[in-house]
Amino acid sequence: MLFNSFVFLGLFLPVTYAVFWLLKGAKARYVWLAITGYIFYGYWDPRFCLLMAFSTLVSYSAGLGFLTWADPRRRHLCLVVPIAVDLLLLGFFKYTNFVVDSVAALLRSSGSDVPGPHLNIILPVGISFYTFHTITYIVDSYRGTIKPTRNVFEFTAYVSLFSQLVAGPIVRFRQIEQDLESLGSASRTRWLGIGVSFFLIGLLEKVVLADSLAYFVDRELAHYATLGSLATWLSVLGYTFQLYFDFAGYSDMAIGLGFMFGLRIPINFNSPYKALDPSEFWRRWHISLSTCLRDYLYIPLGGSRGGHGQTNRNLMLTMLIGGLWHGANWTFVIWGAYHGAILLAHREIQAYWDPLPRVLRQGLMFLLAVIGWVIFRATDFTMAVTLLTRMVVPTSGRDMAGMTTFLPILILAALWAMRGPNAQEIHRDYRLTPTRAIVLAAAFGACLGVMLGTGSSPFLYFQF
Amino acid sequence: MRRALVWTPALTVAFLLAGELAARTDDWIREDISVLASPSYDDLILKDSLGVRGRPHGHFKKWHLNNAGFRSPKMTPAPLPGCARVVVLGTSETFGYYEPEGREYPAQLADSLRRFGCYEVLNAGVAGLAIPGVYRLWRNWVRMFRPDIVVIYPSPAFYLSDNTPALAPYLHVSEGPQPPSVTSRLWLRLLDRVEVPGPLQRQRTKRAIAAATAGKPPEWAFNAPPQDRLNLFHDHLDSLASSVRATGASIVMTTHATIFADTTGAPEPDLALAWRQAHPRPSPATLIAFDRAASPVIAAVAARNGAALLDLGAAMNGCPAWFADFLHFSEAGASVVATLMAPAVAAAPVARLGWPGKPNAGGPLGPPASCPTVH
Repeated sequence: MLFNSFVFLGLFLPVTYAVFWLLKGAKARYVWLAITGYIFYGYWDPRFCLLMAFSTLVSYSAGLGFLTWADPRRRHLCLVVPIAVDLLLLGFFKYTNFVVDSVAALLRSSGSDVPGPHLNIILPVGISFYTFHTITYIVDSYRGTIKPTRNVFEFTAYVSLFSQLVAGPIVRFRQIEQDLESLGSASRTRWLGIGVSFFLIGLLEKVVLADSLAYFVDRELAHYATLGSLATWLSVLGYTFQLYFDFAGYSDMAIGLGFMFGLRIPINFNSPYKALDPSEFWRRWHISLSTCLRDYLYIPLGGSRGGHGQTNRNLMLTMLIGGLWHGANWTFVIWGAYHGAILLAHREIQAYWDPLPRVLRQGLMFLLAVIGWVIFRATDFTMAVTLLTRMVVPTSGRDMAGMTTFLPILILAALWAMRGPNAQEIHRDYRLTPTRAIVLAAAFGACLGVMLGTGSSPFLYFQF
Repeated sequence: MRRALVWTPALTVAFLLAGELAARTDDWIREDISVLASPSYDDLILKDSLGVRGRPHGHFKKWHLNNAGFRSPKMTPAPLPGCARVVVLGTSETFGYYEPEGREYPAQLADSLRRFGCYEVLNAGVAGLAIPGVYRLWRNWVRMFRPDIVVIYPSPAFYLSDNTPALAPYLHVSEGPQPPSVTSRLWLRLLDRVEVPGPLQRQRTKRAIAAATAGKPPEWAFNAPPQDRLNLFHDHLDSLASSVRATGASIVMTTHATIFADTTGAPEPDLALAWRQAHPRPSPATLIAFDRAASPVIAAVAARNGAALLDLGAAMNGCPAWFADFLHFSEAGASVVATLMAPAVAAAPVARLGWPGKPNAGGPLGPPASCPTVH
């Protein structure tokens, strides 16, 4: 089920919301959130509910283990076994074919005639995200950062919370633990206005901006080999903003839904295209992932505690794994390596970079991000190299169809992303004024006006 | 309460205005339709004394017409050198209602014919045209494009209309240009999106039929296929075929196919009722029986005019997977039509190019898929 679908907006959300607030007490609300989470998730493929239930049960049991045992050996087992189970499941569903294909390709390149057996494995939607949820819970419990919950319903509600189940933000238990604990006494109206507002702004970002850009970008990049340089640049710029508004829109909707149910979900985007250097970019883009990678990978690897070389190694390794997390394709690994490289390069030249004029640094960082998105968007290396070559070397070729229509949308998207306020800034000191109510009603009308014609398009991050 | 009374209308107005503006902007972005225009199906139609035909460069929703008003790629007045020009004449089944753009059967026929040689296929189907309309379209417009092969897919049910179709070379157009109507695009989008539940739709259909038949004497109704209408269908189709033959073009004629396996309306009796809404005078059983009775008539006309006959009715009747409603093809159905039609078209001689006809020139296509089960 998609947030931008009629079944969600017209049936699922109103029913879930009404019943949730009619129920009294935290336990009943946990149960209801868990049930609705499984309905929401099972709408794609009910079979995968079992997988999520298994992962939930394993992690919950690990939490009980931490509560029961003080013995370091047993606690260590409670850490390693469930994480291994979670990672094995993720690895099987997401990376089996990638490994098999890569090995087969390697053997073929060395002269062996080995046909790669491509297995028919369906990637369960959201597995990368809820695996992160469960792993962070286990690690935080082990470290003593959180006290694991004994309430199975609370934990199930946390893992299967529909607002952040399939594409994040990656919410750590500790970030919403307080709100979950007080769910029974939560006020329905306290955050309703801000929740609705966040949700509608996210919907506007997705339906009106991202999907309009996607209409042009997808069409052009489907025949990327025939594009001229200008059309390539426009398509890539279009994708840059499409991806941002698609994912930031989803995250804002998730945050808004969280508010509506009394849960404060942390922000996931903070105008990343306003970043002035690579480090800042990663503090603004997909914040929940960056911070997870930092806290559960980079720092355990040693972070910057070792020498210069060790820090660089840790950084590069973190970015490589972060790239691979996005998808089982070598292009994602290269994309991760690219970002690792520019992070390292920035560390080396920071003394020269930082004195540059602000606008220049923002422009350069944006350009670096755009180059990264080319690799990210490419289905294979041929596509990435072709697009990058056409961006650098002036090449004649096909113009973008409908360029005059596309340009105003692109400019609008660019202005909002690079100069305008993000959802978080819009909601600072939020009060629902009459003007805001009218603007929100208009935003909802605009979204429905578009959706009635185009239907619901999936979010780009669902594939991860 | 007072606040709600003030704010509810204000928010509703903001919601509706923004929705309408967004729908129009989205149409501009995706369909290049002016924000101020009020597009309708009429944008596809040109109606003058020459008859009813497609409007050159007309477009509405998924339908895009070319420079000559055909639902085909851009074309030149004369056939492409070395290529045979095929024109498909018919009504909405040919024009294509439900298939995605480029998947209507003439478009799929063009794809299927590639293995036989260079063929240029023009879809000259116009929705709502009985044979007299098709005759005018052919005589006053299509034949100027010098087709080598003409496929005719006739729709006999028009001959059960209250008004008897009459053959006339020109159309008397009495009304002047219609004033532009303003329609809410938001509303149009909503109508497209909302599917009326089956029982409610059935009630609506029954009410519409009751309104159309109210006050009519019993003898007005057709309770059996009327022979005079069948004769008229024969004569009109024969005139059309003769006119095509006179230009030297080869003819491929097809029988008409519907979703119904027999006159009870099986397997979709509700659709038989829906079909009757368009032709209230006959009962559903009579509509289906007339359609069946027209097949030998079409065969006779084909034989008299030296046309190849493709019995689509026999091949496709009664298969729900191949139809999107009572008689319009689904994408799969259009594929079956194209697969069956391609060898018949390739077998037709092309006098201009000295092609004697190429039966199975590209190897046998094999039988079409048997009717798949619909779940």
